[in-house]
Amino acid sequence: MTNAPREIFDCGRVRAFLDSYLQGQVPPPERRAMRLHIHACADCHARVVARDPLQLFAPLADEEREEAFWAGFWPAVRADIHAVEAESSSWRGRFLRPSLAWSAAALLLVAALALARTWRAAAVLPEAAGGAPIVRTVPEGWHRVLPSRGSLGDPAPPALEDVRSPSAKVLSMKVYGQDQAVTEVVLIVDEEIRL
Amino acid sequence: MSDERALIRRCRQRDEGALAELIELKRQKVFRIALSIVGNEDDAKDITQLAFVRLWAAIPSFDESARFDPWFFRIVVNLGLDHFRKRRRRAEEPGGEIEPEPPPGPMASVQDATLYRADIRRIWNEAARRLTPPQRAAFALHEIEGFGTEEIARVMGVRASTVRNHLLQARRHLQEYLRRRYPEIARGR
Repeated sequence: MTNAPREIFDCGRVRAFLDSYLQGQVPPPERRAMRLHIHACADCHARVVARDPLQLFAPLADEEREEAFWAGFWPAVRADIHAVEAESSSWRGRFLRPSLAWSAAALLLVAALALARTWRAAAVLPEAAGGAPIVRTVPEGWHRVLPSRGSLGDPAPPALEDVRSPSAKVLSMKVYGQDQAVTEVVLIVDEEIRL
Repeated sequence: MSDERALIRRCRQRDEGALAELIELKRQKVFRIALSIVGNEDDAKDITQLAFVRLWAAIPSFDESARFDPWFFRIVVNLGLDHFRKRRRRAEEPGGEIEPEPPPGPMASVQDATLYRADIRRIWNEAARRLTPPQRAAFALHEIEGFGTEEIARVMGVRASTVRNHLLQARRHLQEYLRRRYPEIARGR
């Protein structure tokens, strides 16, 4: 029997509680005491690792860096915090934050996409009674956002669909304009993007 | 040392001294989790530092009736997973570094705790390269830090069944690795 670091667990008690230990049923304080014994006692260690080889990694839970390792850690964190706060309180930080810049870029992209689709939809309209397609020039001015009642039916509801990124979503919706132009708005949202 | 809940309340009131105490209380565990995910001490140090900076920024939104550790460790795990993914993306780029697998070295005696733990950390870093980042995180939180499945699910923002699947896959890969590279350990020395 090898000396244990804690009195409350010796080899006999470790053996008695080994099944519960391996099934994760020993409460944390006792579990730690058992672990400290197991990984200081060659016999118990061999017995535990033979039952579950992955118990080899259990002592990593007690791995702690010495005080010297942490020298300068708090000043570094404090300096970072102050830098972040100074940045966010300045007008440049407030208005040129990456999140705002990305949002603006996304809005521009959506606007450009919507404009392109509107032009395409408005340029070629359904055939007239005589069979010849009605071709109009690109309409000028603003479009109505609400659909023209009774002419095109209800607007399509927003559709949410999954894309390859597990957290990203594509929200697309159609907005019907005054002269039967259809604007498709596509929003891509990914909360996993770190800005 | 003040009570943890009181420290959190003081942090929410922007008391930097409370943050210094909270860091003292949590830094070892945060570093261990980061190290288990990224497998590199320098990167783990950066993640630990960034985690406390993020904590300071986010703590006003923390609901004091909730448990603090799962909320905070979610920040740590997300930072670790993000870092790991970026590093792997860099390695996959043309000319990116792919570290060769080191040969298995001799292990220190179990009685020499410090050396023995350093050896185990080395073996973990080698073995964990076979795991996906979520598998690493789930295994480290469960088998090393002693978190329950439901708690890991909250930390990782996934379902408990997903955590169980990560753990199953991680155990399978690690057992296979130990059997192949360290048969004497798999036999219990």
